[in-house]
Amino acid sequence: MTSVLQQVFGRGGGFRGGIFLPPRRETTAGMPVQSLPPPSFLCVPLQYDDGPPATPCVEVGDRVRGGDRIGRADSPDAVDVHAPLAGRITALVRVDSARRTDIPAMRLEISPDQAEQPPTPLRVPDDWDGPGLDELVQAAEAGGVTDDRASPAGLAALLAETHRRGVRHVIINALPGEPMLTAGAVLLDDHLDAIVRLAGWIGMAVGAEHTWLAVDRADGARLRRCRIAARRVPLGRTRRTRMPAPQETHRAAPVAGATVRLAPLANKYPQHVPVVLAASIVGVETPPGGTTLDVGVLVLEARTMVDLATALAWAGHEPVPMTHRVVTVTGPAVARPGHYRIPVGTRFEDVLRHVGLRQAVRRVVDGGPLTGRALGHLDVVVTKHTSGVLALDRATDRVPEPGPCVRCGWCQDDCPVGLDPQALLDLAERGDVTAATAWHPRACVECGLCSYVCPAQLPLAEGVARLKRAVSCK
Amino acid sequence: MRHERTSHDAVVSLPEPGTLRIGPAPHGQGRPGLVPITVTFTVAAGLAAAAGVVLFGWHAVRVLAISVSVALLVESLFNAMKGRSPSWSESHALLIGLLFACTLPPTVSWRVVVAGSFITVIVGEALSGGVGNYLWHPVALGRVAVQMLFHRELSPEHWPVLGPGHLVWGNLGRAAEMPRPGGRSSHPLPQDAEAWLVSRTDDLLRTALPTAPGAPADGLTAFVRDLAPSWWDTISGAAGGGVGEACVAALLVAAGLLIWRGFLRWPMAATAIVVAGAAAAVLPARVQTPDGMVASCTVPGLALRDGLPVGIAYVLYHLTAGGLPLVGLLLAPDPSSSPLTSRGHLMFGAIIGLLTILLRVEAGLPAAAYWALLAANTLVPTINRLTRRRVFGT
Ligand code: SF4
Ligand code: SF4
Repeated sequence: MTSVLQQVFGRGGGFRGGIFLPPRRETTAGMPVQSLPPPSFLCVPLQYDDGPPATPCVEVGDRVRGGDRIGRADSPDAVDVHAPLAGRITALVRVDSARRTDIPAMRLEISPDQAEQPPTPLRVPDDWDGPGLDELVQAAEAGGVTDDRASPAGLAALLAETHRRGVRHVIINALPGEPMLTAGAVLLDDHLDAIVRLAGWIGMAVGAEHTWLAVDRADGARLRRCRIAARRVPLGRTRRTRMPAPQETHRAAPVAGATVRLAPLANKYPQHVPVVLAASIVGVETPPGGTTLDVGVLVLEARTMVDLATALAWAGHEPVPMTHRVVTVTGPAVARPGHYRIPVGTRFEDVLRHVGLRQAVRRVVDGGPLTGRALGHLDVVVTKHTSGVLALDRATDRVPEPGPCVRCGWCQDDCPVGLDPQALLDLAERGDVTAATAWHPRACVECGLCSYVCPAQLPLAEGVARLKRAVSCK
Repeated sequence: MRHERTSHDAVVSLPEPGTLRIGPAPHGQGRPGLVPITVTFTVAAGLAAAAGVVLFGWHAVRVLAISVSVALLVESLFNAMKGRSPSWSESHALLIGLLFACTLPPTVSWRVVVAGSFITVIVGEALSGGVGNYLWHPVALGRVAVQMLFHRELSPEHWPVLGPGHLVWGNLGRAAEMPRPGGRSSHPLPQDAEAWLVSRTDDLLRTALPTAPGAPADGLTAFVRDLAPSWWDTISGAAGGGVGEACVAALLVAAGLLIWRGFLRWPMAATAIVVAGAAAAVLPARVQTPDGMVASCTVPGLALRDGLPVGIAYVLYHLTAGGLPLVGLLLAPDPSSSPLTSRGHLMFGAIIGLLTILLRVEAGLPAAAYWALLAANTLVPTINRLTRRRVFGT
């Protein structure tokens, strides 16, 4: 009922469009993070989604220890690559990731005697004033830290760019996001203090006026914990999510770092997308093809804070580069679903072999059910951006039967950025890139919602994304 | 080192290369699909039709059967001529046949049903490009067409409805005229009759209201007291009407089903009803004065007589009478002929509500709700243009 009212009267839950996905009980919710036993070898990719590759800085045949740098970033858009585990470099190979095929990688035979190293607990000392911008950028650079949704993905480049251009708002996204992917919530629970403090330090370092922690307002327990962690947030003001008047800003910070304010948001899909977060918290609209930096907002994932904190050095903590990824491995075909801390470069085959299958797999997906990519083979490797591994069996994998568009308008009504996906799919099928430009396909945030709601099961999001790339290249 | 296999390791082996399905997202997430939409609408229409069968007996079954079989036959013939393999749209013909039968009075002759069903499927749907392309709702188009072709047959003086104790199995042909005033509550059905002949409520509302001795509001009072069936009769369908129009309660249940499944975004139906109510309350009602003149009762919704809110009763009759409930709850939500966005739905519902009352009260048009739906359908492209969403940051 609320959702329909909001649908009609506009910015319900912060923005117009979007839908409240049907509530579901996640199998993996609240499960602790486990380690994946080291596989026999890794193919560590030297390149992330859109950036240029890193240059190998070890020779084939070299022995490396876990955390050693094996790829050096030469251009500002590349990121350093580190060996997740000790072993020997045996070859330079080419592998596929879910988002990109044929990327250079290093094959690393893992030493059999490798002790499983547990992740270092993050306990940021209370008396630490925190790092400045230089320290943050350095740690991000040396640790090869990346952010899933930001562009550029390399955190060091992103922070430097943010500082150069200046932002008014920093938003740390701690919303649940896509269904089935619960790793983010577990990381938030485990490292809440570190996340909030890092958020404050980043806000301070880039000179933002406001630093926000975006949380799901329906999740009372987590909201309370976040509120306690961000103590400086005055109670009673937390429902305000719009830009505060100047006198409302509280700066009574007991420790250094910007005040982190909670932004409790409706978990309306796709609230977690940076462009949408900037719209519902700050009220600014990112121009098509731009990033939130263009409107003075830096949006980072909460889990990036964990990676950055791990890569920082403080008394009693050795910096550890980003070499593993906490991934939700789930789906009806998985025998032991859960959150696994997986070395970057592990093949999906090894992941699935470890978690076991209880049903014949029909579809393996990298990512979530709404935006993930189905994989054609299992030699695909886990990267720094893998957020989930879904294995669907025959019963749950529904093959779409695209029918004629019935002009129900749901795609247009629910698109978070106001696109008309049906018209865009038409243009995409005709290959009419020139005409498409006027429809702003570059505004698409690739949330996959249009495909999800379309009763004709048309591949709308795919068509819009295709046009988006075509228009961007033009 | 391969990791050790634990005892509860799964028995199922990894998929062979080449057996994995690829394809765009969403992966394994339930979406309604087109067939469930048609099925749900068909079930909803079936509810209204079932209520019609209860109220009108085998006459209703006859209308339904003819309409549905003609629709199915015509559709498959058309598909065969076009050389198309009929897919799910077959079940759409079933839906259209059902809905069309719902708009007709149960006693109508078979010629009307055949002609109307034919027009509905051929002109309304097939020639207009089928689902997703037609501008006008096929059923409204068919209904308006037969209204013009067979005006006399579709506008009888009295409409029969089975009396209590004779539901489902009774014969509409053995009908007794309902005595006035008082209606069914004060008179038992005569011995040899199985049905009442009642004046249909929207006919009552369309034609000038009855002679009133004093002020124009007396006309309303006379109408509410003497002519109009009771509130319960209009809701349950005992006041008569089309096969699926009569029973408002069944229509509400059907609409509830559509809302629950998410195929009717209720603000559309709500605005249609609210705006229709407001229009009925505000537009002057024509009342005959004793000297034969027609006076108008301004703002009839506020009329009060001896402490009775007769104006409100009058407005409620407008809302539950004739085709308005069927149009607002079952026909307007059709995905193809309604606007694209939620705001468009609001405008669409408002137009239907307003036009229905205007056409009834001012133009005295029969089948006003269907005309209103057609007019609103015609405006859909304009509504879509007006309510097109602005892309972020442009
Ligand atoms: S994928 Fe793009 S076009 Fe589709 S709903 Fe999301 S933003 Fe809109
Ligand atoms: S959601 Fe699908 S069927 Fe509905 S208008 Fe969009 S493309 Fe057409």
